[in-house]
Amino acid sequence: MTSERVLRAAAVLVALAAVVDPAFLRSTQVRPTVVVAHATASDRDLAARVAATLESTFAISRQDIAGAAAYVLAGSDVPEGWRPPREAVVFAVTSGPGVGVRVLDLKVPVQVSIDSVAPVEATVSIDGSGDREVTVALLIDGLRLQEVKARVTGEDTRVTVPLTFVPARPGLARVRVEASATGRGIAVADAVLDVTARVWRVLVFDGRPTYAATFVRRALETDSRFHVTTRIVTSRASAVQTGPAPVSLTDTRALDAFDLVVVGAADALGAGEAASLERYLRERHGAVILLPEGTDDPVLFRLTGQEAWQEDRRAEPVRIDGGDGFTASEFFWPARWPPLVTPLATFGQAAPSAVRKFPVWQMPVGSGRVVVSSALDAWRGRASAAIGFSAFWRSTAAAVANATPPLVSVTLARRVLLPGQLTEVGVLTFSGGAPTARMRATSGAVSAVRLWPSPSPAARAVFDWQSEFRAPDMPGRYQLEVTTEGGASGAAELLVVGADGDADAWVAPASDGDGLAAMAASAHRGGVVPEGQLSALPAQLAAALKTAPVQQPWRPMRSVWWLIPFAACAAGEWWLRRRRGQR
Amino acid sequence: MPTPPDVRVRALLALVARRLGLQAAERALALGAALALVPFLFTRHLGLTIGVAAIAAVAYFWATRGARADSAALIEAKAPQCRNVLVTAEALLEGKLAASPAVYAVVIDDAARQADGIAPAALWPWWRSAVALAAAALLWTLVAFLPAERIAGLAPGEVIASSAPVVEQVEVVVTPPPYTRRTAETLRNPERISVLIGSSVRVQVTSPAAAVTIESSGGSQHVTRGDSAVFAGDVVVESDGYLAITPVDSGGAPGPRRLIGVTAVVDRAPEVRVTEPAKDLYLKDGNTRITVRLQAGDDMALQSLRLAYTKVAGAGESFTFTEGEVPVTVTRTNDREWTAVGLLALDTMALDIGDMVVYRGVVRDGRPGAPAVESDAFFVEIVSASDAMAEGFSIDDRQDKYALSQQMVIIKTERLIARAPSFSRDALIDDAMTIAAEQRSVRAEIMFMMGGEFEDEFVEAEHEHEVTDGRFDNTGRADLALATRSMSRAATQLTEGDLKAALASERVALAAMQRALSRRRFILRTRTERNRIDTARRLQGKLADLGQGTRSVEPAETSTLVEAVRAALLAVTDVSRATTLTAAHADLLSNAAARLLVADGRGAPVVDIASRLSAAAEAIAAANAESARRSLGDAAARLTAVASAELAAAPLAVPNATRARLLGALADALRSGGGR
Repeated sequence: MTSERVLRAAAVLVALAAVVDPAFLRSTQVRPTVVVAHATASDRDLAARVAATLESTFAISRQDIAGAAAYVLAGSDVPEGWRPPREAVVFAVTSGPGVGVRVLDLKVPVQVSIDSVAPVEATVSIDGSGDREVTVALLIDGLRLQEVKARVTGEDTRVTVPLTFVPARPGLARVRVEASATGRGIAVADAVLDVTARVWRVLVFDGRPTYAATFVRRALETDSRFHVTTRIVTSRASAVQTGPAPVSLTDTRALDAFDLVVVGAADALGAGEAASLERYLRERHGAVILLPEGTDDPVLFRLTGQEAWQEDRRAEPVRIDGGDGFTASEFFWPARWPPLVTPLATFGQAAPSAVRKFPVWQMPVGSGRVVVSSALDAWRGRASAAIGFSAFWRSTAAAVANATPPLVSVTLARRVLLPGQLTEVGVLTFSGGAPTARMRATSGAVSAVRLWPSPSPAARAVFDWQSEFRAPDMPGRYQLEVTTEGGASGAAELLVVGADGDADAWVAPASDGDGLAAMAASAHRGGVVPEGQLSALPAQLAAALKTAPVQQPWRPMRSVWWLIPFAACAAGEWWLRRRRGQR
Repeated sequence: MPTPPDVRVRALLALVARRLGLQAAERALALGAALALVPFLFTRHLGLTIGVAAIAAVAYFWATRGARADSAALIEAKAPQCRNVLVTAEALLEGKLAASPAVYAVVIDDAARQADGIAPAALWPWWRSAVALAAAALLWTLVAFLPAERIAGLAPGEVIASSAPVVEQVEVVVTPPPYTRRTAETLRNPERISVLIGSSVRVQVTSPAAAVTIESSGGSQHVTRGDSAVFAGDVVVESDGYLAITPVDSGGAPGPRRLIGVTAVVDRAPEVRVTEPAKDLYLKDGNTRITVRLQAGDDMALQSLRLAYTKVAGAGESFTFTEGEVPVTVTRTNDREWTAVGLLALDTMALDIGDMVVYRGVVRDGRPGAPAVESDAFFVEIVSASDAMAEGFSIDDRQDKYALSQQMVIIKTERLIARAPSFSRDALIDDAMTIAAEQRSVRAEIMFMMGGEFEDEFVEAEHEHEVTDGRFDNTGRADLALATRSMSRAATQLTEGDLKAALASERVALAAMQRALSRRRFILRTRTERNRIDTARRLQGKLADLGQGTRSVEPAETSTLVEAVRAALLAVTDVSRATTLTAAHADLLSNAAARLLVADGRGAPVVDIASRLSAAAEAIAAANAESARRSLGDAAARLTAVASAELAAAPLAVPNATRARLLGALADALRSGGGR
């Protein structure tokens, strides 16, 4: 009987307590919300591991939400457009320096002429030591075109692999490099390359006929990447020219149409030509190649800023390393070298004198660049080293002409976009008046893009414009065309890929360091945690967050488990009664 | 004697069991055949098809063995009038049931009577199994004759097999030109052939086609099947190119083309040289005989080797030339390398002082109509006794002493430079000035020989006409002027104590002097016709027209090889991206290969690429996608290598306007503060 009463009382107590539902206050630790994010597709797996490590201690969100207590960035980059709140703590989890294979850097030209090949350089890191082989493949628009095997030995962990892309058609090409090694995963990195039919316009102006300018001109005329216009002043009232060459170098407007001006026998020119060339360099951001003849040369003096020069004649021709190499025996050096000189060709062996001298060198003049050939008679050796002399000048002219911006230069922050993705546009023009921009699809549909002047100060005679637009919804290739009031035009191609993730699979090279994520972490009371020490991240994050315990109400009866003791008590009491024969 | 009843019962049971087994086997076969259609449709792989069929058949037969195990029960089910007697009889016969002999006999007898009335053929006819087998056979017949294109949708990513005729085998018989005396060579299915120009190539093609077209650089020929089972065509190779063999069916539709690269090897001209004495000789008299040795070589075979000479006699304006030939003894190491030795009997030529004999080797090879090739010519000159002593030197003996004196100046300067560290400054200057004095004396000798300089401007003006007449315009005089100027500079530098600069100037002077004073040898051949000056074209220009001249320059063109490589790359990328490869893709690759084979400047690497593209095209036609894609990948890598060698590399540096602006501003700031 007593047992029955006890059981009955217990069941009634449970039921009464459930009806009353008392509340108590207790101190508890709130689970902060931590957002785990990644910037590139290659960091997706790392982000998943970070989330798995933290989810037992924190409330994890893979999307950016307001009020998050902390952010953990997987990888070395920050997601595009992400800015952490000022109060938030930021940590970065980076891949270890020696984890498998990584593509650290991928160098490709921004623009390539269809009549040339694009050199591609991939810097790859591989963990471990001893003899290791890395296979680096070049894929263009998804097609594997080249595969190179590189060996890494000893304690080295990185290797730079040269690759070559041969463009077959103009337009945007997506370059991907895949690096793999036995026993390690595959690392990839992407870049974009624009194959154009751009032809560099070159003006060769000879104050009088000279061998140097003649052979440099011939080297350029045989290269289809250059359109060469020449004017050779043969006598006081006569000249020979090819194409619509300006009568004089003082015609500044005519000079602006050229990407490169080669000047031979500048000693036959005067101060007016020198001033015009300097304006071309500073305001047009152009390139000038000077081929002096070793005498008083006002153009040379003005552009280099050096008036004292000295001749240097050698008994035997000296080998010059530039391209495949050539020789020269007569040199013309400045008595004092101008500042910021960059050598374009050097001597095969160190010069005996303490001061290094460069047979061909380049220096900046304003935003332009001037190349000076101090090797006066290099053209003599062209027969014995025809490939070296001509090839050197073709590549030099290509490099400096390429650096000259077109009359209308259009740059896009991103060339491969998802539908609706935002990107920024920059336009540089060399003529006044507002340019007009429009987006043209391959179907012919045209939409206007608004440009506004850039707030940053531009150089004189240079006009900087910018814009921002969202990629069209329809995947495909688009041309952003910009036209000025003067009739000059420029364009840039962009590729809108399908929304199922092609651009999302875009992989930037892994930076050789902690990158922007580490900078964000250090600026937001956080730190950088290597992937190998991921297990320490929860403790570090908790210490950084320092969440204080809070008093929270606790209602113990709001648990379904109370049904069990209630049912057990009620059932036990009934069973005992029935055993005794009671109802 | 009547058959015992138990035997009759056992016979029926055995017959039924056998019949059921055979029919099950037939059904298993039909099922296996039907299921094997699936792998055959998707893969066309014979082994896999047979495997699936065998497994399915065996599985069915094994799975159904239980259903036919109890023959008596199966008979009772089909013949209910037996009323279980056969089952009982079977059990009694197998000992599973025991009964008294009388009951045993009655049951067996009854069972035998029932068995006699049962016809297994009526209960289990063959037609059902046969229908299944026939259905499977019909399906196979349909699949075998159904065009592959109709099944494309069932097998994405695969190759659509073509029904066009293919080239099964190509045999090439190369017969070199007769003069080479080489035997014919037979090649089977070559990717490329390398033959001598003028070789005859017989192409024998084995193909089920109705006709075959053979294209080459020389044209195209249409070959029909004659009496022989193979198609045969003849081509004469005159230049690099290709052989394109295209099978054509009876309706005129072409099949996949096979390309064979052709490299035409030129029969090079022979070479001959004089190995002894191999120098010019100056003799004081002609009473001697000189042994002359020749060495000749050819890539194919030599035909003749002889020693020819020309005697030049006379003086002043009157010379006579007499041609002759010296008998030689030829030693033939092999057909390609010969040597010869002959004796130039000068004593028989009546040579006088001033006469000369010019001799050279003359060789021919077997090329029809090719001219003879001569070696360098050397001469033997009869000179006076004093001139004979200068044999082998190329500087006039009177000027020798000046070159030697300048050489002495150089040697003395070099020695002084070597001893300079141990000298005091004053002693060094003293010795240098001594050498400078010697240098000036050498210079004075040269000036005297030249006729002196113009010390007086009036005298110089009187000789102005000589300058305008161009009498001073010759390289010898220019070199002597350079020599004297260099000597002056060297003397000045020695006086100043700049020994190294002086040494450089002295060497320049010596080189210039030697150029000016060396003997030059010209061997002239007279032209067969005279050039006349066209007076009508002289003095016709106008000075005003000189003002603006225009140069015309041919625009730089991309080479045909680069164009062909680019087109091939486009074809490879377009075909590689396709998920289903068709005959159109094969044609695209084949055309790209043909374009490569006719491009200028192609070499063996390009021919290799063309072979791979052709192989890829044939693999597509043979429905071998894997082989085709492998060949395409290989071709793409090789095309990249060829293009890299032909095209210049684009600049790698990325233009950065901001950086350029900053650098320019920094340079200006540094310049305003002075350069470095």
